[in-house]
Amino acid sequence: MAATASGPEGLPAERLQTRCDPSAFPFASTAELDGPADLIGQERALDAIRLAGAIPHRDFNVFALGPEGTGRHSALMRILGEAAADRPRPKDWVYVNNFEAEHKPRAIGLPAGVAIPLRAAMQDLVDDLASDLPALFESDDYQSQRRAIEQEFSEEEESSLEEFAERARAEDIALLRTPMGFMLSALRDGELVKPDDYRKLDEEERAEIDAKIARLQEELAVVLREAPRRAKRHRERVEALNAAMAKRVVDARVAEVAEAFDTIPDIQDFVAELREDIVANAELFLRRAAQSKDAPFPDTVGKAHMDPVFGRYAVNVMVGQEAETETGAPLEHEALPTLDRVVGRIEHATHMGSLVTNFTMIKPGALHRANGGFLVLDARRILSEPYAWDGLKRCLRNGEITISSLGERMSLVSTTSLEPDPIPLDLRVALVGDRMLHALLVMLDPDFARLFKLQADFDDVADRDDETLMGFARLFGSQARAAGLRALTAAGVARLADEAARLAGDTEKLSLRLEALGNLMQEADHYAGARGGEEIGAGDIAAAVTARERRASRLRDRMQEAIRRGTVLIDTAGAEVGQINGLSVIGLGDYAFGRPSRITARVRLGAGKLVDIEREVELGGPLHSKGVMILSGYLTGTYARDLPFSLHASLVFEQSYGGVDGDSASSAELYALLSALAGLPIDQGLAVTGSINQKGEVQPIGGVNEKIEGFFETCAARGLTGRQGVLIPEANVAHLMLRDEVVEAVRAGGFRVIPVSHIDEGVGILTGTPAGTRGEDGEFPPESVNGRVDAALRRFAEARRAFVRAPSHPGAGGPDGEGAP
Amino acid sequence: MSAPAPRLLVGAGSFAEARRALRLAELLRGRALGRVGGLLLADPLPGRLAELPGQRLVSFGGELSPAPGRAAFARLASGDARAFEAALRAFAAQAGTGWSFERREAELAEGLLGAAADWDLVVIGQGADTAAAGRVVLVSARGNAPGPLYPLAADLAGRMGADLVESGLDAAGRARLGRMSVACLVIDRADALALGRAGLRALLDAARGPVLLAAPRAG
Repeated sequence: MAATASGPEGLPAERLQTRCDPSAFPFASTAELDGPADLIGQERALDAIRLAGAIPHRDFNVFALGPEGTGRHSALMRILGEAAADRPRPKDWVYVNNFEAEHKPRAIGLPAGVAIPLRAAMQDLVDDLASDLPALFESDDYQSQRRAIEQEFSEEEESSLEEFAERARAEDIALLRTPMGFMLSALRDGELVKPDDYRKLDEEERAEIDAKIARLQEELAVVLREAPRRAKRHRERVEALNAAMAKRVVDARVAEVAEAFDTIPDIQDFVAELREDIVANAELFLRRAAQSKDAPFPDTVGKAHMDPVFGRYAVNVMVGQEAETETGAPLEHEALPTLDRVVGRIEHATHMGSLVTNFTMIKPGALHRANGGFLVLDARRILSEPYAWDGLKRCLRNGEITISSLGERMSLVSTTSLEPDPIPLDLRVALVGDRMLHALLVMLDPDFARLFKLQADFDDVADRDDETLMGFARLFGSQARAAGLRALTAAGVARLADEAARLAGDTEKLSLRLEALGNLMQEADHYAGARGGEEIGAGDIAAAVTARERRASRLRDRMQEAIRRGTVLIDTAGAEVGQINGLSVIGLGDYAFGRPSRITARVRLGAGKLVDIEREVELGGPLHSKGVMILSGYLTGTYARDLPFSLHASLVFEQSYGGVDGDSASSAELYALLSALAGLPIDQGLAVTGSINQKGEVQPIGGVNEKIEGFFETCAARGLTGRQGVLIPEANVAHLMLRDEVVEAVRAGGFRVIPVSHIDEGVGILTGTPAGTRGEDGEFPPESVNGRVDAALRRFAEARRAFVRAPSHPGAGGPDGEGAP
Repeated sequence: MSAPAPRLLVGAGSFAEARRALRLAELLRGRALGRVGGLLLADPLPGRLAELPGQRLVSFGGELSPAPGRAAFARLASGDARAFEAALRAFAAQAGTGWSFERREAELAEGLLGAAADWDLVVIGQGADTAAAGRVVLVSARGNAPGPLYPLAADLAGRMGADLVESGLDAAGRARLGRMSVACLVIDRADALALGRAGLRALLDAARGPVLLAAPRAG
């Protein structure tokens, strides 16, 4: 084991974080910044939303896509809210009974503010008629007319029977009423001829009597059969009287309603039909009056319109606006976009064991409420609700809201249902979702692109320049004001901006994850309050960051503890051949931390196979496998190019049991492999991150700050030596936004962050031996790393050739054959 | 000393007619009643007439059929008696008074003449159920002068929502009655009994509706 040289010093502390300078802000506190603030860095998305709010053409619905917490929803609500305020108030919509086909309720569009007064007018009408009609039918006027008809009828009936009885008596025949009907019997001297006397009559007389009785029986049958026809005529006359009387009252009351809405033809048509129906069903009002005599409350307390029997005259308001208070078009957000809640539903009630419904049980959905304006929906939620997305698309495509129940559509229930008139639909839908969802919809749903012509693509980062920083200050100042928080000092804003840069993972960018930053600000406000501060300062933001990390760092602490106690083997000093400290990032929701992992490489003679143990056991993801294959390409393209690649090497993340993905460890794996081939030890005080390409260039990776901090923490726990550090891709220098303790350690010379751009550069630092470049003779210097690697690979190739030629090993040297070195 | 509560007899030739009589009796229950009685008078004549050759029955709906035999009338009368008795029992229970029931084989007018003297009020069920309204007719042997039963008749007319008319007992009066729909005919019990069987029979035939015989003190 050999020690390496001390190596380069690494980046200066100043380049490890780029702090925002509070003095650059032209304010001391955000309290000085007035007015609402627009989102920063989202002009592209905001323009798309503004277009959706302004363009009058159909299907310019908008999909706001982007990461969670970038202000998509609030931007939609604000911009569309402004657009809605400038739009005219949409129509009111009501459902009323279709008296000709009750299963097809009629939809009536009304001027804004009319639906609710119409409903009240109809309720008053029913209440008034429930009082007027019974009173009318109890009036002397009606009763005397009714009695006259009844008496005329009954006397007509009595007369016909009496006339028959007289006629029979004139022929000496008596009419006898028995419990089962009428019988006829002969009279003699006004007295009934008893059966015994009858038998004593001579045959001729008996025959004459029998003939008379038989004839009169026929006549009596005719008289009696006339009774039902008389009864029908009687009923018709009574009904005509009732209708005429009812019409008088109904016309007077209905005229009041018609007059109140005389400028609306649809109401006039409805009222005309209503008048006819009430007259025809006046009995409903009389029956209720009879029942209410036994009710616990007098008529004046019990409102007739609440009686279900008068539901047929109700007005079911689907969309109704207050006449005075509401202005502009609606802006609705449906948080639970089920099919029913989006397109409306038809409810049912149980009656005598059956499910029944009527037009009063039609309930509006979000489309009804938002009609004429805007509807904001969460894309993932509506897609996960059965048939909701399908229902929304159908309505948008057809330009009308058609309510159909899910149960009926799937034939789950068999019951009476309705076919309400569709209601014309004119609204703009805004969906909020992530980019993946948008891409899937574009790819898989042929309707999507036609119905959602606009996309508002929300960025997750913005350029960090003076203008953006000022917008950032204005935005969070405004948010603090809106949420009732303390104002931020300039230093507080600067510290928050630093955190935004850290979240962006880029010193030249600011994260636009406003929700996460807003949460941080709220927590900082709490700490400011706890210390009695009047404003949120940099210290409060820092305290919130520290507290947030502490809350989330249980797992990180356990992992570092495992390293400290030697359970997880990580060296931070000394040098080892074929062993290196790689770095990985573990993400837990909105918190991520780095941790070192030992990567080892073993080499031997083989048939050109590079074994990625992670992949073999299916713990490596495809990107990791890709990285390993790339380094194989680098080896074969760089060394012993004139000989067959005769290496068998294995690479593994030691003590990794949870799977590895990403190619950020590919440079570390290559360094370990080169070390193993060259037989040169790697400085264990260094850790490495970065991916490579086949040309050996080191490429940037994500999570650079967390990775550096993860190794720093391990080193710091064991004591910083000044030789420890991390090799990072040169391109990641711009992303450095390290925590203060790392920066201070670097400033004090206790830790290093070393940028590298090529594998040769890195291997030189790690081994303390120059990588070496090919000379004019095309050969690497023999003592250089590359020279040693090249020589090792050549040895393997020669050994393999010799092995294959050896007669004592038949079959060896086949495609995958491997022999002893 | 107050007068004893009037005793009420409900008489009918069938249960259908008894039910009609009981409905009228319901209207009298407003006044305190003494004992109530029920009298089913099953007329044997129709049964005997049915035995004559060629006799037919004309149903109330105008259908012709062979006249049922005496046994059929007897079975009907037995069933009617049971139903009548049960209805009377219920009526008496509601009125809170004692009751008695009797079934006799007699023609209606004849049977009533024999029984009416013992009762203050006699309600005779007659006629078919009809939706048509009728009148309350107060029949008096003393012409048109308002008699002691006028208040009773007027009260009934009010309760039934019917007109009250007065009529004489002469032939013209009976002819007028024959052409009138009678909701209830009210007559002094003594006047009715004085008519004799034929006269009462003629009056009942003319009325073809419920008849109330009332002793003046009961009115």
